[in-house]
Amino acid sequence: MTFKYINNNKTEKTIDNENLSKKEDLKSMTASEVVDRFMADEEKRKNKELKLEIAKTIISVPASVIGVKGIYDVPVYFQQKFRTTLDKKEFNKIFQDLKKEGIKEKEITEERIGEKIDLQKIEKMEERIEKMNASEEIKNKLTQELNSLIENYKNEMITLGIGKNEKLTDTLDEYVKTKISGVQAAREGVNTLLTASGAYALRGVSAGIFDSTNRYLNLKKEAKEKDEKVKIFKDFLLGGIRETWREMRLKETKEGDASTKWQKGLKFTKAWGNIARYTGLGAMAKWHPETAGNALDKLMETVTGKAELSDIVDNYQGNIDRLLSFYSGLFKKPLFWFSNNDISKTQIDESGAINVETKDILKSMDNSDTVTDKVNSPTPEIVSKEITYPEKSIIDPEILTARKEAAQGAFESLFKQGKLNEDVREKFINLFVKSDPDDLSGNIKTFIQENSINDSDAIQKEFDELEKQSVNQKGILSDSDAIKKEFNDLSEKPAISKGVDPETRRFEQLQAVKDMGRTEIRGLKQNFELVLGKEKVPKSLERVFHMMSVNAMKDVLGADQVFGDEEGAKSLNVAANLVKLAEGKDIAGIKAENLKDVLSWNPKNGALDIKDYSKFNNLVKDLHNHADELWGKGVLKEGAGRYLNDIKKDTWETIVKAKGLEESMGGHDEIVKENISEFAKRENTEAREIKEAMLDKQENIQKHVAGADKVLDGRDKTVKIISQEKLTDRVSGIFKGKLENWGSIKNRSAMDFISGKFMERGEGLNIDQLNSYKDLQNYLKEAQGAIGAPDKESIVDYLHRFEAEKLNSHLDINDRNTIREISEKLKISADKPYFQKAFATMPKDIKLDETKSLGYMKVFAGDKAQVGDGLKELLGLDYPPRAGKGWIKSIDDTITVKNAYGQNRFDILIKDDKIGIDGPEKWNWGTRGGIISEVEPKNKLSIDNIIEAKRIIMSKFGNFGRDKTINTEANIKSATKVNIPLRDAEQHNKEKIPFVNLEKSRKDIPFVDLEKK
Amino acid sequence: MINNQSDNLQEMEVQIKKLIILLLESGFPKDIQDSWIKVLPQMSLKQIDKFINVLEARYLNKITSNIDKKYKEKIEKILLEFKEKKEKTERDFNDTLKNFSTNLNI
Repeated sequence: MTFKYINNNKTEKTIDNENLSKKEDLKSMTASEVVDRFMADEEKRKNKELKLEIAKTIISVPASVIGVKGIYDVPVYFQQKFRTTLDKKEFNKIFQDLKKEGIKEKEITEERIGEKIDLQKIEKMEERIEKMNASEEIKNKLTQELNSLIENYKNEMITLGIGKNEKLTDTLDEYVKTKISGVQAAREGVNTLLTASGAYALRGVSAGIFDSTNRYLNLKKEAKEKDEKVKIFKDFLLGGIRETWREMRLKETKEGDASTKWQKGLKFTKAWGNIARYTGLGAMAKWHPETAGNALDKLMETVTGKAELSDIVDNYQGNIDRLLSFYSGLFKKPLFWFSNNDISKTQIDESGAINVETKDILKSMDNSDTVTDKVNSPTPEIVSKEITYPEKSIIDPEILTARKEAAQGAFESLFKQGKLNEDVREKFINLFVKSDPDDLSGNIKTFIQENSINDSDAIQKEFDELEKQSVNQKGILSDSDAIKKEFNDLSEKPAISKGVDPETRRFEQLQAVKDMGRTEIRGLKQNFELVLGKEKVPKSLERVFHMMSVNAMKDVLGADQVFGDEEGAKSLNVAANLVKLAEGKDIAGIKAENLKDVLSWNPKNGALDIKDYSKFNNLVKDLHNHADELWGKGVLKEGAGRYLNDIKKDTWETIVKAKGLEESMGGHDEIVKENISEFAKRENTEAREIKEAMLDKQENIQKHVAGADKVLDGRDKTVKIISQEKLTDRVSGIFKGKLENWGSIKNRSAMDFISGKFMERGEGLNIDQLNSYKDLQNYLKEAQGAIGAPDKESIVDYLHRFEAEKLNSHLDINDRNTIREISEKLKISADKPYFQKAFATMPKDIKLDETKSLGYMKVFAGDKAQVGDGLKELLGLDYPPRAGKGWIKSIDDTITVKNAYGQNRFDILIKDDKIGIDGPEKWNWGTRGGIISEVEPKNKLSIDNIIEAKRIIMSKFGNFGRDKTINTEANIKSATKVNIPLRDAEQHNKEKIPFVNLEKSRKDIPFVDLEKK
Repeated sequence: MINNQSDNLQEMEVQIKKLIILLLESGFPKDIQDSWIKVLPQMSLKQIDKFINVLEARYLNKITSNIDKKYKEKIEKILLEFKEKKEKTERDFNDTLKNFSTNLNI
């Protein structure tokens, strides 16, 4: 038959394959492999959950459009991708997931080429040709023509198919890359958030893949080498979870005695039930978690939607139900209420070991992963237990753990009632653990009777209460005290070696302290009130706060085991901020008024009252976090760090150990002098440099003064003639006997001022600082107070004079407008900050032009009536524009001169030292912004550019011919005199280029048979 | 690379923080979030690792779902475009056949 190729899938697929095989990307890959292509090696190796989750998504996206069936037998992207792996487990799993999501085969409507051809009709035509009364040649020609039509149709359809596949392939390729890039970017976001929120080392976060198991084993190994106990690591982990959770949820509910083992068991059961029910595993709700290792994995799989719920239910439900009666029985009742029926004889044999059936059940719950878990990663609970298992016990450790847990819970519950004491604890637990199941109930009853415990009603009542609390429990370990208590109970200080050399011992002590410091919650222990200077309490508020600051520090020693620059600077920073807050001054992010119920400070009688120590501790923690940031930015190294040298070692020791405040806080008694840096012995280089620099300034100014017969007095802006001697005395007086103290912590305010505001530029005050003149004066007064200088005025005088000297230098007073002359002409006080700012901002060439400088000052420092005149003078307008119609001032102080030089829709914009033109439509010269933001000028304001602006406006006007000029004659005359510069001409031509519809053009491109090409 | 004790502890701390943040972002009801926290102490370290990965995968997939949506629309557009082209080709072909058939006096 001539159309035998119709419906020939083989031909079709071969063509598609050839086409797609040209693409190296993503060829014949599984979804995981596709994802692998774009994931980092480390990531894809370890985080298979992430990989599979993305793989699942990138398949479901096209499949939801194309249909699942399309993945199998439609010649598109995924057929190519999965052709070789259709039978693989992963694909089947993914396929099942897609079905779960409601993507069904029936959605597929992809058709085969030729399906729409009416074959009967074609056969009819062939028959008709055959029967025609014509020569064979004609018949053959007609048949050929018919075949040709079908051939062309087939080729067109194939070409379309190829085009579609190519486009789909490219799009999906792009999708996969974009998706994975997005995931990676989002991952970075999470890490950034972590870094920002917790001030954690970026390295720790960016490590990305975390292998707790190996890390734990490393820790364990290290601990073993140091003969320490490993428990602290596990406790650290769990403690961290609780603390962080509490912090994130900000819950403050009380839990009371919620931390008993007994209640923990109940709470856990409740939690387990919640998760199980949420993930659709209702039958697991009552199942105790002690044997839930494998099921936890399954729960997680359920959360990802990766596993079929039915699988889990089918495989595990029966086992769960069977184990349920045993474990729930153990935990749901006080122990001596067990009847023999509670513990099935089929589960534990006479020797107390698990029978074969139960072993099988447990075994069936284990997959290879879980087995590995047991070998490499003992559960935390097992690791932490101090009780020794019977050496030859063949009881499954998990069950043993469960039993001991129950025993401890029972014991604690009873002990809390005062019925038992510590002496019988171990006896009780051993009795419970080792008892034959059949004898257990009786043994416990006997035990209780022997110990005179028969108040079953009271215990029942307690049990009911505990269960009630458990049911109502919404949070976990949300009370910090409870957490601390629990944590402290669990934590152990690393053992300190005995009989070793003092140096090693010292190192171990410090290490132990450091470890504990990381986990302890440090800070004040109670509310208290103290009076400074009374008894042993330090006299200085800052010193008291400094002690509290150091006391709150977890990492009190640096990596080199020394209390050094970093620790000292941070603690000082916190102390200084506390002083400010106590004095009622706000600091960044914290308002002093919000601390009224936290602390109060009365400077008159020196009484400091810590009203809420818990909130105070939080405040100090926040300040320390801030100090960490500052240190990270290097601010503290340059700031507070410089004061460390002024504190003697003895004093540091007093601070670190919180001497005098021992009753209120613990201090760091473990620190000895040797751990404190030799701050005081270091040369205070910065103080020395400042001193030298100041002396230079003194010398310079004396030279300057020596050559002058008059100086401008800074205070009243009048010129006064004073004697050189007097001036020199004034300047010298500032320094005499003062510099040595300026590096001292006592003089921090002055120090900050001098170094920060004065010395940072290396040349003293500049004109900008005059703008905040009054603030400066206030600051100076504060600085003087801090210094306690007897000759307070001398500092002010000096700085005034220095301003004057700079001002004179800047103005070069001779033959042009001085600030004072302008001030007099404009009738505006030269003391006004905005006047000084305008003068300082005025471009130099304008400043040299008498008319324009006056114009500029009128515009930027004048009143409303002066601005129009100012604009006329500055811009050379023929007329003074009027406010509102002729000029407006925007919120960012940009002045807009409308229809400048009489040209409609051409506005000149000026601001400070910038100029620009905002023209019709989108045309502009030297502006930016618009649409959302205000348009603002960006070209330099100069006399040349003012002239240029006028020239451009006059020349461009003609290009927007439908507008009318205001001063037609003059403007046209002006416009004809100038040439359009090349840049403008080009821009003009661009505007004239007709719009090309590229889309349309593309569509007009004739069809090209790509295959033939 | 084996880190020192301090590094290990710090990295564990970071992961804990991460776990908490991801759990809070998980979209689980609050009581389920609480429940997971309660269950955590009973989980092995390996399971905790896995749990962090699961939560992270959920979170990352969720916040990049806009990418999925965008490309789903793109794919739909491509399919629609080619479907229309195909239908047109079929129509043209059928018209040609019809003319051919007419010429044969069928």
